Amino acid sequence: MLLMSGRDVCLGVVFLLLLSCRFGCGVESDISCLKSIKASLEDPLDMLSSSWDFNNNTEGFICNFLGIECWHPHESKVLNIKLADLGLKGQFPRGVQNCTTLTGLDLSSNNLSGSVPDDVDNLIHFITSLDLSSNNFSGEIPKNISNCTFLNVLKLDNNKFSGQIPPQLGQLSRIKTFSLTNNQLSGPIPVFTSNDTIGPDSFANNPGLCGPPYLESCKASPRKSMGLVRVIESNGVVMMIAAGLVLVLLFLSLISFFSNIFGPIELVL
Amino acid sequence: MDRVISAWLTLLLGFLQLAKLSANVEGDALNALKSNLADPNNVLQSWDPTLVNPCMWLHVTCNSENSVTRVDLGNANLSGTLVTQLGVLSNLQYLELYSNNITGTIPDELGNLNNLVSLDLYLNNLNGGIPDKLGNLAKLRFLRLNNNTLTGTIPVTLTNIGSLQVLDLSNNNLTGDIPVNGSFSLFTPISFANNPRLKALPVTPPPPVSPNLFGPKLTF
Repeated sequence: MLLMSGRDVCLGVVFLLLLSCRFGCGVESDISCLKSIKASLEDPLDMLSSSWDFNNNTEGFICNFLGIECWHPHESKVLNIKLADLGLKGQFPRGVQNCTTLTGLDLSSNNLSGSVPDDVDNLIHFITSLDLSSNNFSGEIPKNISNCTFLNVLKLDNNKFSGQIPPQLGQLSRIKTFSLTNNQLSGPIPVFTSNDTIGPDSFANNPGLCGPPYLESCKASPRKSMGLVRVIESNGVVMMIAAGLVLVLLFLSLISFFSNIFGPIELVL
Repeated sequence: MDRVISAWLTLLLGFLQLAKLSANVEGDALNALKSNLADPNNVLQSWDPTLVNPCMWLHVTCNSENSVTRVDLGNANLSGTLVTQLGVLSNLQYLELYSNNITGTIPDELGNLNNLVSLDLYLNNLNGGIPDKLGNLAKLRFLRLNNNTLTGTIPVTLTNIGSLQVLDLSNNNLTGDIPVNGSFSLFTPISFANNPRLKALPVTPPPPVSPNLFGPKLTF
């Protein structure tokens, strides 16, 4: 079963992390993480350029960077990255993978675009709060976000996410705040197994979303179920059949009319 | 009339004495700590117990009422043990004793520090357990006890601290289960790493995805 192997993969990832970095490679990787983020994002308002200075590298120097919170003062181990509302452009910064003890990532209210990487769970495995709201992110929400099992806050609202919401999101057992409003999502809402904090407000303004408990039941999409019944129900086909029958009847009545006048007619077919 | 005046004067003097005493209570507590610590770098040299209150002592911060709010002794090469008297510092918000060589146990009385926001005892040689009474610290935001030799279980009472933002219990010798309820919903294996006898957080098997009755059938 694919579900079982998914869990094994997750265990494998955690085990590898255990072997490789023991829950944090610490200082060097976190510095390269921030260098990579700075390099991959456009910063037209120069918000990062002044404070993200990698030249003066005393112990824990990155802890004083704008938007960076460390686990302990004077040790360069990043706890949270909060870069909201800085006019940043570019794609989801993959370099965040090297901040191995990251628990919070807030990139909200910027001009970021592109899609969220499919392997996001490898990039931010221990994330508890992910806020990508109010950007220009597009594409589908990657189903691997459901492997970020420690997520308490997931805010993806006010973007251009499309396609269906991965049903696996319902497995996130620690979710307290969840918002997908104002996107272009369609299809059924996931069933959340373990909480009562998610309401209709989490899904509003996605014209294609459907399904209980907050929205109407999803009508089966014609693309997916092409039963013969559905085809016949289509009005156009009925009209064509009716027209055909009329023509046949007309033809037969013409023949009978002419045969009355001219005698038996042989039809050579 | 004289009797009234002298009565008022007595009351006033008594009040002043009490005020002096209460400030001294905090100074006495910190002095007890100083007496229990070895201080090769002389960081506690300014800690003079004959002063009316400890607010002029270096590494001590007071509020406008001359009550101690911060003790900043991180990375000070101190050794020795903590003292139960620390529990009387009722307005203490920041207790920063990290990165020293302090031994002994964490006093239960720290659970009386109702205004404590940050308890940093990390990178020391503390042993014994994490006191259950720390669960009373209703305003605590930072609890960093990592890199000691603490034993015993993680008190479930800590899950009641709604304000807790950063928890680091890594690199100790804790045992038992890791709570996941209450405030501990925020904490990942990072907070508990390198406690060889601590039971790892279970990877909850994903519940079987029920057939989607409300839309197109999804296949994996």
